[in-house]
Amino acid sequence: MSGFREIFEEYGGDYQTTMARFMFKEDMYLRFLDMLFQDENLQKLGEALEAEDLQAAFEAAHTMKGVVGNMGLEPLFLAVCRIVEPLRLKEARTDYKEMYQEIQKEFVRVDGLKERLKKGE
Amino acid sequence: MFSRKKNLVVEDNPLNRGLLCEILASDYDVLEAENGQEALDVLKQYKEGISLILLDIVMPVMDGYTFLSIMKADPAYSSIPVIVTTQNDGESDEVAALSHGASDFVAKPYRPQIILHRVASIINLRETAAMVNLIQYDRLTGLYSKEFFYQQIKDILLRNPEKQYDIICSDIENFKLINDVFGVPTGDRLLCGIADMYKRRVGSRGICGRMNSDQFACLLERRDGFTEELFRTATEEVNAFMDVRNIVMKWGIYYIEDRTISVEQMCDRALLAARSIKGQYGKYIAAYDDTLRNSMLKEQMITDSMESALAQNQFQIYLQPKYRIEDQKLVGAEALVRWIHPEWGFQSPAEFIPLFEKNGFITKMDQYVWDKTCAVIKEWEVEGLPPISVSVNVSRADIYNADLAEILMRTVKKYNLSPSHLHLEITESAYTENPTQIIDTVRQLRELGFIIEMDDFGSGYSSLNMLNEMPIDILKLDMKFIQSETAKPNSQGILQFIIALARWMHLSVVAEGVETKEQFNRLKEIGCDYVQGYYFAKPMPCAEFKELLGKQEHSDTEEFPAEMEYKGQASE
Repeated sequence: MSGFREIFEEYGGDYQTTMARFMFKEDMYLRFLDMLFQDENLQKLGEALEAEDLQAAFEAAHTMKGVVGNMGLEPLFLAVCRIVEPLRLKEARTDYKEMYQEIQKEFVRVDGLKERLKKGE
Repeated sequence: MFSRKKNLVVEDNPLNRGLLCEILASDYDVLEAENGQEALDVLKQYKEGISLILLDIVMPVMDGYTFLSIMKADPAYSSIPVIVTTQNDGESDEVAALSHGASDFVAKPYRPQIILHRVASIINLRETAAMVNLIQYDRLTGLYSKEFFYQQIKDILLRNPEKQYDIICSDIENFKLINDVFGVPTGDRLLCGIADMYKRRVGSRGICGRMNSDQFACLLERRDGFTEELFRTATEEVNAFMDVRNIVMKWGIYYIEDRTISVEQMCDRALLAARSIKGQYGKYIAAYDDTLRNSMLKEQMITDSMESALAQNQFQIYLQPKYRIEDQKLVGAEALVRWIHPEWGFQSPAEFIPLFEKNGFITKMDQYVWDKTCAVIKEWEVEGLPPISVSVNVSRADIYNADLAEILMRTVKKYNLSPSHLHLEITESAYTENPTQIIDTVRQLRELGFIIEMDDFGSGYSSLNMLNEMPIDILKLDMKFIQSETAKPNSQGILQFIIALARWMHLSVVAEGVETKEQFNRLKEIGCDYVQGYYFAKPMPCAEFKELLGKQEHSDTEEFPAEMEYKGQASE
């Protein structure tokens, strides 16, 4: 499994902290990473923002924050955190879309990470 | 393999839930629920089989706070600890969770080692607390449990060496019956009532505990005035709050003098004291002392060894001669049992007979005596001695034995004797218990040819009606009765009246327990027929009696056909 750590750190994750959560089982991590892509919260967040339902948006973002945090996907995590706080306070802002796009961008990066981690084997 | 403890993970997000399950799976069995409602369903199924719940707050259908409020309000689940999983983004969630009754929280992202440690320590804490509670208090009554009560007494005695204490306990004599007749819930209500009374009466002056099912105890600082009255009112109080009446309670006291004995023993002794008055009507309280202890130990020893004693022929027949007053001639004997134990030596019948009557062994021993007595009579017959009759005891318990007549007939037939050789002494008190049965039994025995002697006449509630109804041959006057009677002036004697009555009813009279010449003269004067007592002869081993019988035969056999003599007059 050479390369997992390098790839993960190169992406911007904290290998030691994250993988401790998965008992250093890389295949288990990959299994959970697959689950992340089945998670509906990204979609829910988009829809809620579209509908300007800040409460629903907050709930989706809040859950995403927890999930992404657990996966140790630091750049994506930071992107989610940026949107969670104003949503929590129900701030009427105009930049939610940009923030959401940022999250989507980071999600694509994670997808790339997933492919690399799988190929890196 | 031991079953592992179960944790319940309540989390809507499959990734978070899956990860938590993976983390916990190394040490626990993990159940999962996607929301509060599902979690309640799982709880309903497993109840306290679940050691701990890990709970997310934000969930669809039913959120974590709602779930917490519901489960903490239900006594069936409220003691299961809950750890809330929060987002690491502010205190508010955590405070809210704790205020809803959560034990602790863990933050996302998860740190497995921290989660495992927290889960383990909270489970451990809760189990220890539950255990302490379980050990300290009796579940039903809320009093101290036995073990904890003992511990508390030890502490109190140790901390207060200068003070004096007593242990008082109680036992419900007929509790099993109450449970059986009125049902366990009523029994439980009774127990709770007794516990409340203990709490109320003892107050801050002592401590109370539940010892066994219906046995309670308290430790009190010594005070005066442990009277029958006090415990009678306490027992009445118990009876008053139940619909059930006739709850019989016995109380025992152990005055703590010797602190070197164990607390367990002290409590046992208080209970022994209570048990010692079991069955004694109107007696409520007894204190433990060495006399009680020794007599109970002795009773136990007797009970333990009675069967083997019978098997090893430790019981011996002694015969006490009966004389005809008219000519002071030996006309019969009463068979008495003596116990010569190989280690303890001679055992007093006054000690073991009442015990055998209580535990039912008396019927076995009576049958043994009947058999040995018949064997002795047969021996005399074979050796050509005069065929005199011997009386044997028929205990109250024997009367209730449906096979009594059959057993007695079998015994005399075994030795080829006529039933008239055996006089049956039936105690007067049997009549007061069950008149119809005893009359039927006695009539049957008499028809078979046995001679019936009414034993102990005048010692209890002697009834003229009984004399009239019972088909008896001989009246046996109790020595205690005679002893007090001979002290009275001649003219006033009831004794004389009884003898006259017996004459009129065609009954012979045997006076037993005659100890002085004076007594004998008096009996002679008023026309009593036969005497038995130390004044003439003590009970003696069979061989000795045989010798006596032989001597008499050589002196004047022709004059007294003894067999014919010592019988009831009614048959003449």
